[in-house]
Amino acid sequence: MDTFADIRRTPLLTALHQAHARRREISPEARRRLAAEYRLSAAQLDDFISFFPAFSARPEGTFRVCTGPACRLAQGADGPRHLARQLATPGASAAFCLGHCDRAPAVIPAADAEIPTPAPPDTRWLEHYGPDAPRQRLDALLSDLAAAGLCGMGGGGFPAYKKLAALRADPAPDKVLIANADEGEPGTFKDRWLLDHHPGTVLTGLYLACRITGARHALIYLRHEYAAAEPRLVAALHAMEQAGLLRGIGAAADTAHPLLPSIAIVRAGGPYICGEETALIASLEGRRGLPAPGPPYPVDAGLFGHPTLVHNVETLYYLARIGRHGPAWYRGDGNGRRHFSASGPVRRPGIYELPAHSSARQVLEAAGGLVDNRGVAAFIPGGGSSGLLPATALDVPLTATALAPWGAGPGTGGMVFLPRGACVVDMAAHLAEFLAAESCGQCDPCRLGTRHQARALDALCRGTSQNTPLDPAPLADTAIALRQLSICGLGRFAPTVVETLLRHFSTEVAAHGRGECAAGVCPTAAGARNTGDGA
Amino acid sequence: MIRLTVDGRPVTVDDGATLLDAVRASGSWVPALCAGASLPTGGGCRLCAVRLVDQARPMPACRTAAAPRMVVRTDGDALHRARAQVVRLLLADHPAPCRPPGDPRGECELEALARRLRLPLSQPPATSPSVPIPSVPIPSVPIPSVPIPSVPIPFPPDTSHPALHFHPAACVECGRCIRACGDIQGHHVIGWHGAGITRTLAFSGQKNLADSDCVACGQCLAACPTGALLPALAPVPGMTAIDTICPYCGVGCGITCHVAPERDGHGGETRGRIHAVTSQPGQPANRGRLCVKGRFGLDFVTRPERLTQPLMRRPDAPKPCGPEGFEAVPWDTALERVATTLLDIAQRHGGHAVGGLGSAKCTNEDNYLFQKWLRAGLFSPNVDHCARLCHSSSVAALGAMLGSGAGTNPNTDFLLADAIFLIGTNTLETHPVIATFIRQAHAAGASLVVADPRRIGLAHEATVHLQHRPGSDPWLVAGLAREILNADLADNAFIAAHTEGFEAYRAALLALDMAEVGRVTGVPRAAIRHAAHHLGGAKNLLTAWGMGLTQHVAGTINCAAVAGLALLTGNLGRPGAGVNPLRGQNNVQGASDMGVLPNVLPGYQPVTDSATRARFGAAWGRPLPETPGLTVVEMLRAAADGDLRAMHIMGENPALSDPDLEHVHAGLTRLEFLAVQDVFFTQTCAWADVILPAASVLERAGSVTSTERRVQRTRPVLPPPGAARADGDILAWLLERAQVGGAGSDGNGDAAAVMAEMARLTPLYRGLSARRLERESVCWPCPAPDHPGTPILHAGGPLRGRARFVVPLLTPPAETPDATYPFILTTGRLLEHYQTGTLSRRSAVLDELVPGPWATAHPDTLSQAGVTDGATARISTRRGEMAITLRADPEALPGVIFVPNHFAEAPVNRLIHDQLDPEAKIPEYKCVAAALSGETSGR
Repeated sequence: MDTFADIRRTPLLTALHQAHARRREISPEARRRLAAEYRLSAAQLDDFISFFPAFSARPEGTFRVCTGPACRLAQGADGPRHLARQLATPGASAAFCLGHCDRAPAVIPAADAEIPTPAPPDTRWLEHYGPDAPRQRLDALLSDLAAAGLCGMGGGGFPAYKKLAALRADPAPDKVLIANADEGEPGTFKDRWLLDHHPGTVLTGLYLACRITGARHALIYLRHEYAAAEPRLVAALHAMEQAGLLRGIGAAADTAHPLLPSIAIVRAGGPYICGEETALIASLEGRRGLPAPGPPYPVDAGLFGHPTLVHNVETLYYLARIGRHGPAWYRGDGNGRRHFSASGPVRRPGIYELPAHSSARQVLEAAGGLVDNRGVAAFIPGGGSSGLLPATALDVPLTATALAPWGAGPGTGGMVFLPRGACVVDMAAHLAEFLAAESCGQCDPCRLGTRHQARALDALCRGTSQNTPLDPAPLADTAIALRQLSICGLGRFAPTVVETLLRHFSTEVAAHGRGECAAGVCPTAAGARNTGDGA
Repeated sequence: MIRLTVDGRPVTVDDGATLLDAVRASGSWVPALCAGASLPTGGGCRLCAVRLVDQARPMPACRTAAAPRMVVRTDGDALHRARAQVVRLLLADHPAPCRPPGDPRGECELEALARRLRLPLSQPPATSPSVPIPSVPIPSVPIPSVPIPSVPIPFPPDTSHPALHFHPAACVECGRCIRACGDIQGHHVIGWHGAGITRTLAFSGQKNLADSDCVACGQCLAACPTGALLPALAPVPGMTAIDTICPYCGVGCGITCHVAPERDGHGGETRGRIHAVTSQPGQPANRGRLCVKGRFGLDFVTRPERLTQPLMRRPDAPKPCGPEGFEAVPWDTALERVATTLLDIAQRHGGHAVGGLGSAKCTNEDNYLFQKWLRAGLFSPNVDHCARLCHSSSVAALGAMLGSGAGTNPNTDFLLADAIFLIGTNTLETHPVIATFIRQAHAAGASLVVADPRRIGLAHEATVHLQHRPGSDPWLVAGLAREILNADLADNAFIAAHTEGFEAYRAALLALDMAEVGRVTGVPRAAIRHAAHHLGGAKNLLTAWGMGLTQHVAGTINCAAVAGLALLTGNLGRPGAGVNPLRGQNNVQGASDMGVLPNVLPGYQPVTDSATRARFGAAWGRPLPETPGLTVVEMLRAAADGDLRAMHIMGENPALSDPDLEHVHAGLTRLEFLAVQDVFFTQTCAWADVILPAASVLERAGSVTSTERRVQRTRPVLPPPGAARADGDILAWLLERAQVGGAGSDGNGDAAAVMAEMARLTPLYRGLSARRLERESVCWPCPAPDHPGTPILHAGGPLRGRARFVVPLLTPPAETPDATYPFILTTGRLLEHYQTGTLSRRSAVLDELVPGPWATAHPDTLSQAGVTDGATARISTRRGEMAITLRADPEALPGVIFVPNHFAEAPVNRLIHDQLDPEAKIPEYKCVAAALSGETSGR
């Protein structure tokens, strides 16, 4: 009678957000009601709810303090201690990177930042690609994307046009497109910036992707901490709906043209892992956000079994731009473009759109260099799991090929610069802790391996390593276990931060082994590290 | 078949096999921690990872389907190091040894794995200082020590539950318990809480076990690879494992009892104790599943209140009286008294002046000897047992329509059905293991239609729940049939080929007033139509029912109507398609098979058939009564009227179980002589003249027959207490005394000899022998020693030839609510208890889980009657009244009061009328007019 595995049904995730918005917690009554409504046992419902930090009780007056890379660096050498003091204030709870690195030190809820009203989507132009558009027009758009060589911008880097072409060829009636706006990689905030400043362009990209593929169901999976972007997205969606481009917002209306897509906004629940596409889909289906690598792949059997494409916000943004400006504009001098997030003590933290093969120094220069012209001690090239590199790598192009010899990768383009005087071991320990906390726990190598890494680096920072010094041999075995056996990329890339630390910063590691932190950041007596609650 | 290569060796595996299957078939070995026997695949431990030649990364063997020509390697340095490191990391926080010595599950699987990989079991604790090393080189030489810091797990053990304990420190988070609880049993009580580092196992969302929704089936215990889940009752070293069949319900679960002798406090050894129960491996009836009663409820057998010596009523003791009215006597005295008195009364007044009740709790062999004693020894036609009270209407209806009164399909056939229709069965509580198969099928996509006046457990999960008023079953089922006809979902080919009487049936249905159906049942027509579409549209429909359908004056009519639905939709004689009355007791099927019924000899051979009588008479050396005798309720009525003068009751408790207890007690009081043979001093014993202490089914070799007609071997797991004797030996003594011939005539109740005689005289069982049952269990009919048995009845067409449609009769219950008795009283069972509680209320765990009775009713009904939720109230009917705690149940039908029937302190059966189904003589326990009031002073 009731189909719960239905794309037209309100996701449990959304129902929980609604319940949480009313009471700032999921009350026992709400649990009883939702368990009955979604036909779950108390254990099944709690299994789901407890996976998502967004549904923790957050009484009035509580706030979340970002402990991410940029925010650790925001108070200089005192950063970690400052965070500890801040976390000691009533109502405070720690969070890993909140994606507001340009406003470090960040707390949520934050005072509203002044963002200019964005331009609405160009609906007149979009009408060319409406349900009456000739097939050739959509084919031409797809060829433009192929000519541009548009690849996924979420970190995976798979050619986007190939996935679009595959979904286009699928005759299934209910195809799904998901805009992945659940950005979570520490030091990365480009998707938030694009949603704040260019929501119309992102939605234009989503709309075009729906039209190219024939997907009738689309949704934006919006990072929980990016709630401020929601009204802007809704305004853009209303403009599109009024122009007759949508079947509906949220629910599918049957009165409009059946080929038009409906677009919904679904708020994510907080875990970093839900940025992984199969985990994201699982969370939408009312299951824990656990990665389940294919086959079958989402493009064959995704959300509730329907063929599904998941595209990063930036990918969709470029999809729209390429549609408008053509492939040559995008390719530039060969490698395309991307949005780098620059943070740490740079003069102008923010988003910089540069050629994709730019070096870290070029990004740093675009951001105005470091405050006080301090030298760079280290930098994170592309988000928390991309590794830690020394200043000697500043001129290496931020591409996979160029970074591979350094044991790192370009990741998400989320760059964090550590000035001289900052402690790279502290940063590595924080990133290792982040990975351990955000490991979903479903596979033992990742659950236990990330924990092992975090404990080892924590001991190094605390100075307890005077008794049990960092022994790289078991860490090497753990790295093998993580790489060989982990289910998803989180575990497989988790050794990067430890390995780049040991490789490029052996002096600092050895000093910490003796109980010395030159930066004065890792005092043996400075109290507890800031443990993110993962929320 | 798939051919592939593992470590250079060719392997062939079945289609659908995984690489783990292939590795195991090849003789190679990979570790596996999260893969549990007969559990759905996990995939989290990653230890079974193997390499494929064309794949960059290792693949988990358990989650990778075997494909032709795959080339698989299980070895390799990186793979070995990766696996070993995962095991080391698991061991880092593991408190070895985590299982107590003697755990029937053997050694902790993680510890066994560590030994096999030659890894040290325990890590140095984080607090203990190791040798300081002044600087940190980055060596290229691997260092053998593994200083993984160990952090104590902050969660304390959960010892809140009477049966199960949880020790988080030993948990390896393999998730096997979650899959066992959710995917196998369908309870979904265990889940994760949180994620990553802080993830823990949680019961019903972070409740302690005792407060969670745990029903203590213990499936998690069986699945757990470590000592994280432990039984509350610690095992002892040196236990002996003995396989037998669970003594509770009719599912026929194979169990293994782990027993060890004990010191009795005076330096001597007692007969021992059952310390643990596990499921018997490879058992087809339950596939490794058990429920709380089977796993934790067998300690009744060693309770000190067991009867241990024969007792005789003191001449001055009143009837009824407690144990103080009896004195212990030697066996020969007691038996001589029984034999002399019964033989004398039978001789003076004729066999019909004597009656006997056999027992659905005793073995086939004991029941066979019992009816032989009544028929041949006492020339009495009056032999019956409690099947009369549960499924006599099913047997009557199915026998007449199909040619056999038995259920048609094996328990596991629910897994093969694509629609399941349950009516009047609270399967989750009464047949918990069958419910697991139903839930598993439903989870896999089969539709589940539940018809029950109560919003029982499975109703919450069902595709459709038809919550009809008690006693409205004839209307409901006719309505379903009519909607199936309307939707053109009848199987006309089946009807034409295999049935008769369809036209009259169809005509009656077409004349049915659907508005009246809605009015009487209270179920909206749309719901009936919706259910009919699921039932009629299924390729394979499996129907099951219980006492909610049978225990009515319209019981036979009801069962015939439900069986009619199966005929209408052509669902008979196939895997996953058929009709299954779910039998309630471990040997209720067998007791019926053995002829402990007033109208048939063993194997349902009518007593009225002279050839049959001649055959049995020749074997027993006695003439046999020629006419059917009295049924259970009729016997007790006849006793009250003085027509029945003496009774021999074996393992039954009519003083609590029968309807209209005032009359029953009057009958028992008036008997000239009553012999009771039982394991405890039951309520019925209070009226006995002689009490014979019997061995329980756990102390007796023999066989029992389950609801799926599966005949299975029972073995004595303990010697009987004191002087207690096997029922068969008691009966053999009487048979010898009465000089009856054949098995038992030598005073020896040996089960093998009884089985041999019974098989020779009973075509259904002819292929069975004690020796064969030692090897395998067999579903009857089994006409020859080389016959494999018959799991599915009517496979070659209905046994009767053509199945007969029965024109639906709309028969109302005997009592309907009126001004004085405005409510409906209905009775039923609870998961934790069993029948009159003789066994289950003497189990420490079961008694702690549910120590006493309560009744439930809708909040409106309570306020209408002026009763507060949780208060003691008075329920009265035309027979009498009873005080009991009332609880509000918002999901109950207004006006319906439910009372469980296990509790002597709330003997609800005294309130039930004794109007019987005219054909099957079954009482109407499920629908009686009642009044409810808040005053308790009236008693």
